[in-house]
Amino acid sequence: MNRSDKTGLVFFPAFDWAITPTHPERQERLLYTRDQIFEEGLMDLPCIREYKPRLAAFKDIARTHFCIPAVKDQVTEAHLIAAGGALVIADALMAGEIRNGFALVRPPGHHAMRIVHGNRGFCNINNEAIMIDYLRKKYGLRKIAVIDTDVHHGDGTQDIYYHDPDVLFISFHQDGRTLYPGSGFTSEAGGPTAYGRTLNVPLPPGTTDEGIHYVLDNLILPVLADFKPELVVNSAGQDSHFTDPLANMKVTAQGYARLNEKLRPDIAVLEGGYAIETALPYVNTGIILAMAGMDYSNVVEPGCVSEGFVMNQEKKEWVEKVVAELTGIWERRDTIDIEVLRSKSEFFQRQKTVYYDTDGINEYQTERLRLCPECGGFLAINSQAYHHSGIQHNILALSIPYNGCHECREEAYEEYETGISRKVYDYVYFQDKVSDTYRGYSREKDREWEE
Amino acid sequence: MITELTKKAGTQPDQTAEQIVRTACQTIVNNIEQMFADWEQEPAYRVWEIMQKTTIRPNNIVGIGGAAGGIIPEVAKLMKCTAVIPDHAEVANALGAAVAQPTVTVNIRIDTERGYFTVAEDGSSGPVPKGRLFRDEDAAKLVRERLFSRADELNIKEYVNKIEMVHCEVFNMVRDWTAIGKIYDICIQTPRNILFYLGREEPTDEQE
Repeated sequence: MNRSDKTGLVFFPAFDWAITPTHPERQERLLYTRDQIFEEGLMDLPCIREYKPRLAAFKDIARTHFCIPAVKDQVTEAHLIAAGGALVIADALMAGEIRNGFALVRPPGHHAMRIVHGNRGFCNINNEAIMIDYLRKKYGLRKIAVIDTDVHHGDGTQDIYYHDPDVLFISFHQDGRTLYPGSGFTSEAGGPTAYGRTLNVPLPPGTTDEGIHYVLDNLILPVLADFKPELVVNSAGQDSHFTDPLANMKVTAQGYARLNEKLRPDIAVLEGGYAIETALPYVNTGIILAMAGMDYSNVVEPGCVSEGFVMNQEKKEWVEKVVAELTGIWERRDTIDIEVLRSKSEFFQRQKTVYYDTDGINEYQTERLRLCPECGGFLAINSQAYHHSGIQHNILALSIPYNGCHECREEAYEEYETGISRKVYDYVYFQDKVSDTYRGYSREKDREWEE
Repeated sequence: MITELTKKAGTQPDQTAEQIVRTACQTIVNNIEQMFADWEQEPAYRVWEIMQKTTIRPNNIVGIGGAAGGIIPEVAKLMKCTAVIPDHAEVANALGAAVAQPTVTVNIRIDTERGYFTVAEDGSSGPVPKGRLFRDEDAAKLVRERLFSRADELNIKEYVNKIEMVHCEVFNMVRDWTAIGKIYDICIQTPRNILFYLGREEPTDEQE
């Protein structure tokens, strides 16, 4: 992307923040990673440049999310710093100071969807999506690819870009029938205006380095070559590691490092990974070395067998079948006739239920996308959330895309004003990415605010 | 050399010398500014460290060493500070070495999951009670004991009057959602101090 020979690193382990002291996403999650990268002297290498994170602004969050009731209610300082860490790497990359960068930050974010009623899958706000929307707003980038290498389906990132044909989202993960969040099947392939730009690769438990590299070589790299993104982001979870306590895969530090060497992401952002002693120090070291173009062949963790883990024939065939199916979807990505859909209805509508496992919230959503001939079309989302504590929220959210046309903006604003006047919604939101303004209205306080 | 430079520049020797001092001072000022900027950019690994946004700049520039008299006033002027050149500045480093109090530091790691501690300075180690039988107070006591013992070995026990904590990190060891021990990383030391002041026979009250 530029001529710098440096790899940028933001390391923010948040040693004073945790969901609870014994939670998998806790203070010491990156403690042993710190010890490892310091002992190996990675920060002192001339090709590594360490950056200090900053706080993301509320507006950076509101550009991506609808936080209920407001951004300040969903984020802690740690969340703002983790998101801000990704923004620091993005700025350094765009300034040409680094050729690639890794935001080794926590708390993670890839389960945070566009609407945020609370924490789910250890995530409140989506660090990668906030970074992508920032890059688009500040630097005018358009086509971006996100490769989600976490063992859990990146359902939050998928949700945010489901109707965006300029963001390619590929997630490979342990099959949703066997692991949280229970989604990420091949049939989830993007909305009608972005069909095929979401590709989900559900993998059998026990998938090895060989399995994920088959997916990389035969699906991800060819699709990336076709898509030609301006920027590649690795949503870098490390919980496919064979020692991870929350999942059942058999990937090694070598497998992860080689993946990053081949994928060559411009930016990697840490996601999950909960084997804090046996995996993270080695996987992170491997990724940093691979991104810096250095030899990582000696990064071998305890318990790793030299000949590698082996997948049985049945699982190999499973992986090959999934890759073949997704290749077909990719090849058919431009075959949906939007005009036919538009002639039937001005809006594409889908409904979904979302469970917030950390905070115990059930959400029911109806999402309407205007099938606009001029732009990406505005989104109107009605969401009802039922907290286990008894709190209920009924909200309406309107979102205008970056390329939003005049008509969509007018129509969405009209819906926003109607939503306020009808007095049936607790909160009404208006997210205009064209003018970069983000407003909210509270019925109880009968007051509007801007993030 | 000044003569050569003067010839090349076509100026008077005193003007050339002034220019050299000015350039040297500006270089020093630039480096001081960069040092403060680097400190502000130093990585921080805790939320409170990031939230602490103090920008520190000096009010006084203190200079010691032979060249202090010729450089420090100009450096201070450029930085809009007060120049301070103490008495005997030319030999201040030697004086400092003569009056500095010996100090002792101990870096200890205590692992209550495995039940042992290690001291980085001398490699000594030993057992500690496992899990919750070992409390934070026990860690504080153990590290003080190791500091006294090390001071004794170094024959500087009489200087250990006060102890300060430099660094302390405590993390849980969690297995299957249960905390079964802690890892303590503690660094303590005796404070830096001076033994006596010039012209005085006995240690002063200022020594702690």
